[in-house]
Amino acid sequence: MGNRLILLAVSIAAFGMALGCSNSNSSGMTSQSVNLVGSKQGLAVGFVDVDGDGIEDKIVGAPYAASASSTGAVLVYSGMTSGYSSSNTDLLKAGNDNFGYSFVNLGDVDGDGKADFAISAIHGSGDDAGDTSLSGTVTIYKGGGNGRIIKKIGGDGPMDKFGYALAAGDIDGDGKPDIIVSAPFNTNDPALYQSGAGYVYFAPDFTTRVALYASTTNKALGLGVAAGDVNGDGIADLLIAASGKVLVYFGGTAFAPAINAPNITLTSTAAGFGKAIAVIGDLDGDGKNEIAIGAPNAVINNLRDTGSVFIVKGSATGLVALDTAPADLLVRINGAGLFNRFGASISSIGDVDGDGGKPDFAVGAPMADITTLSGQNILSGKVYLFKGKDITSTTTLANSTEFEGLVKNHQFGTSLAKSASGMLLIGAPRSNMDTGGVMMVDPATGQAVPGGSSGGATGGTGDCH
Amino acid sequence: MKRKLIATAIIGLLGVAVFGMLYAQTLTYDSTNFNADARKLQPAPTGHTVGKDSGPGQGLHNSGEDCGICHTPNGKAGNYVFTVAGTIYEDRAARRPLKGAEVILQDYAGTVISMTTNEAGNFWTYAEMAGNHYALSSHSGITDYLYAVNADGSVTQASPTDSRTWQYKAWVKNSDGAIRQMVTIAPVGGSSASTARMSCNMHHSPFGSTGAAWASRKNSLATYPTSSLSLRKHILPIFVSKCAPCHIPGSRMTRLATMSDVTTSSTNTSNVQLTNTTVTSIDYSNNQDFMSYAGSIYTSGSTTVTKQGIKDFVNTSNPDESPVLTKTKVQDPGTTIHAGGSFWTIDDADYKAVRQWIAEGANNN
Repeated sequence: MGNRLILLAVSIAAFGMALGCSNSNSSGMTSQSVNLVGSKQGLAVGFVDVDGDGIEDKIVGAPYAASASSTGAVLVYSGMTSGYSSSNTDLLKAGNDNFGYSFVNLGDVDGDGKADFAISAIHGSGDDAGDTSLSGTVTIYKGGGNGRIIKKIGGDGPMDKFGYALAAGDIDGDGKPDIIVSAPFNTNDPALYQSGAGYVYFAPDFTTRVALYASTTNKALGLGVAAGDVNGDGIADLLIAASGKVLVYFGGTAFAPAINAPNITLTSTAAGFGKAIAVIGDLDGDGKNEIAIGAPNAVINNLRDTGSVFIVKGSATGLVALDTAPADLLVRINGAGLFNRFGASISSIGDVDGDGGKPDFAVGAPMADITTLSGQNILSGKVYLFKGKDITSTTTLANSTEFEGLVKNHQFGTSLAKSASGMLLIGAPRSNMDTGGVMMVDPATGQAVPGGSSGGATGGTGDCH
Repeated sequence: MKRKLIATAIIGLLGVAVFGMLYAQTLTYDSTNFNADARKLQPAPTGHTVGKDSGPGQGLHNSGEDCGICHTPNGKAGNYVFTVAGTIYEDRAARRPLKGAEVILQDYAGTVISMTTNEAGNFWTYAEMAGNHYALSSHSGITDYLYAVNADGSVTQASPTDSRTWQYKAWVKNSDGAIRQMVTIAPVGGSSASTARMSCNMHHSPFGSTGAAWASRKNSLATYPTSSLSLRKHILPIFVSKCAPCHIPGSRMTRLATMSDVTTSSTNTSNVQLTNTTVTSIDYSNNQDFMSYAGSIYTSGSTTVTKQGIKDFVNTSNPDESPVLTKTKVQDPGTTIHAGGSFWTIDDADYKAVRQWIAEGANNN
């Protein structure tokens, strides 16, 4: 087994129980308080400068936070020169129910030098025009705007779960980052009931879009999405999961993809293939970024939901069947055992070890068990850190560094995000009766980041047989 | 004249008695009619202690997850193997869990199992369940015959310890009066005799194909206008929330599983299995697609399924008599008129919104 860094170094006291919160600023954001018990804080995590002070803030989605009018909230913890505020400084609520399910840092959309961002509410009331309801809503915010909203976009039909997954990248090559939104329960044809859809909304106004709807050969569309330059042309490409596939559409001007004509089709029979996708950087030095694909439900040695991660060369073309171990597959890394769900989350974390540019990445296994002196903490969760220099065709978990959750049912590693300074934010949404929380660590040292942990973990696990 | 009246009265009483007997017969639920079709309008059992079979412990974790992954023999929680477990929500979208709902099961022998949901909406039980020894097991397109047909045509029952024979009818009751039953008769076991236990969340999960299991009169949308209702904005969300996963496009078939499907006569030597697989299925969508205004035509290979839509079940002259409203109103206790349950009264906002939209012409707007 690889290096083991138990995050007890993280201040457990700082990871205290949080049963309710409200925002404390006067920026025009709602002042309504929410109940965080059962809110699943940390289902989505990220970084962006909300308050405009030039320092990234910590973003924690709590999509089941209860308030009188709706469900869901996003907690903003102000970034400081050293760490983060100990309690949330802002509270975002918009788009109705399950707001905070997904978050994405878009980058600078409007050219003001500040990164903008988007948050989904998968059962939201729809777009600004208000002609759909319960379809899901994605609210696009102005970075540094203290909650100022640029636009709301919505799904095609009720319970599409529009905004289930989000990604960002300059798909049309105009220099402005676009937003990719999935709606995996969209029905565009009676014969393709709840078969899913994916959309690209183009910056800066997010009015023009292209839609990819499921086809008879590409169903279950949109359980995972990503954007990044795979083919090395300097323009971001679109990656989207379908049943047993990850479809890659090369970006470019006049981007108009056809669902059944992707540039690359990566296939695997591993269960859950494509639920997590990330473009992680150039590992093999050919100038093209590699693709990491999680299959958290993969059965390994007859053990269900063990999970796998496939690292695929960006130079791949056409149809690539990964189960046959083709040359385009750098390595397949399997999880540690039954119901670990290794590969449920993947995040590029940059060059942590300073080895000259080879990118490193983190993989979550939120259902992994942790052995402690007092027994087995089931479903505590782990995050595995892989260094780019260690990736070969024989790489296994033994080549990684582990970060572990604290308590039973923590589900540490459900979500991952990297800050501009390279810190790793890890979501653990199931701790303490689904109150949830997050932990932040410096992946280079394994040390906790001051103020980086928040939410509830100390009030027990909710499990008492 | 007097004798004639008495004779008429006697005949009338006899008639009432006979009708009553026939009526009573239709209300008899036992192992001979333990199948989806015969039980679709069975009222929820009463007279038991509510929650008597709720499992021990707090069980506040992992709501909405497939409980059977861990709580199964050789699973991570293999010391706590549930018979049946799951999560109930306020609505199919699973926006919030539902506390205090009663989950009722009735097994093949008529035994009633009752559980209540906790703060996380979770319920679970270790209660044993009687099985149908003539059951079939269908999984991943394969039908497994749990009983055996002998060379002389007699039938040997399946092992009573095989959880795939343990079948139940299920209801969920909420204190607000909503009650919803499961149309199918589900087995506890899955694809193998020893490893599986029923996790309702395997299918009825927040992100499963059927959506979450729910029972509540809660509104689908927070507010509705009092007039100018829109099908797209206001009405479809209600139908997608409340009428799926039954009234959707495509095939919605469920297999019947009952002892009466198997003829144990020694003369039946060859068609036992064939009879079970080809005849005993029903379409529990009732050929209705309420995900669409005008219905749908679904084609998959050589199969074409044509269904009526919302517009076919409204009465613009008398909106309150529209089948989409009347079939799903909360009924008097012990009365069931809709196989998918009842979940609103005339005072509820969802009902009022649909009624208003119908009164305004039931437009495709």
